[in-house]
Amino acid sequence: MPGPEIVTSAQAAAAFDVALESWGDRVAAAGARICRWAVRNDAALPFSCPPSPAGEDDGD
Amino acid sequence: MILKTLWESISGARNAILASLAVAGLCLPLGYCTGFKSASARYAAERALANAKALELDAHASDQAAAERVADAITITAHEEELLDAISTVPDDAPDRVRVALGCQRLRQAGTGETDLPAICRPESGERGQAGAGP
Repeated sequence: MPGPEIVTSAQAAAAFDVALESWGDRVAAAGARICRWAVRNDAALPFSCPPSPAGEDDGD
Repeated sequence: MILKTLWESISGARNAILASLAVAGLCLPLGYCTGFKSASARYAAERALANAKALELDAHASDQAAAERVADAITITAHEEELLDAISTVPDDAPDRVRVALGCQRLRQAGTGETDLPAICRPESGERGQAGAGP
């Protein structure tokens, strides 16, 4: 939830952008993890999963 | 005539035939039940094996997902801190008109009522407020 300071402080506005971006990164990473987990459980998905950041990608 | 001869010829073995029929009558259901039990046991064993394999697969996948979850959290938190560090070193200033308009709209979408919005977002607060007002 944004606070009113995002319209009075450039730093607060930018910090809110950072929080939003990080939230998006977390959601995207969680989705990719679920995708790879499903593939490791032999799920047949009609798309390939994003690779693991650690590089141990057997999720495709 | 032929039937009578036949009946007389087997009448000696009548008891044996009746006994055989009785035994067969008992054995048939018993055999069926034994076969059914055997099939059930085989099915249960196959199902137990499949369950064990699925559990092993799931354990491996869950372990790997847990490790990835930790790695993701560390990476994303590090990126977040880097971004916050980058903006914290610059002296703070009032946001420009575009940022004000965006911020005002974000506050509205977050459920802030018009009367609770900062003055800069209200139309009567001048040119910048007009920029922050909704359509």
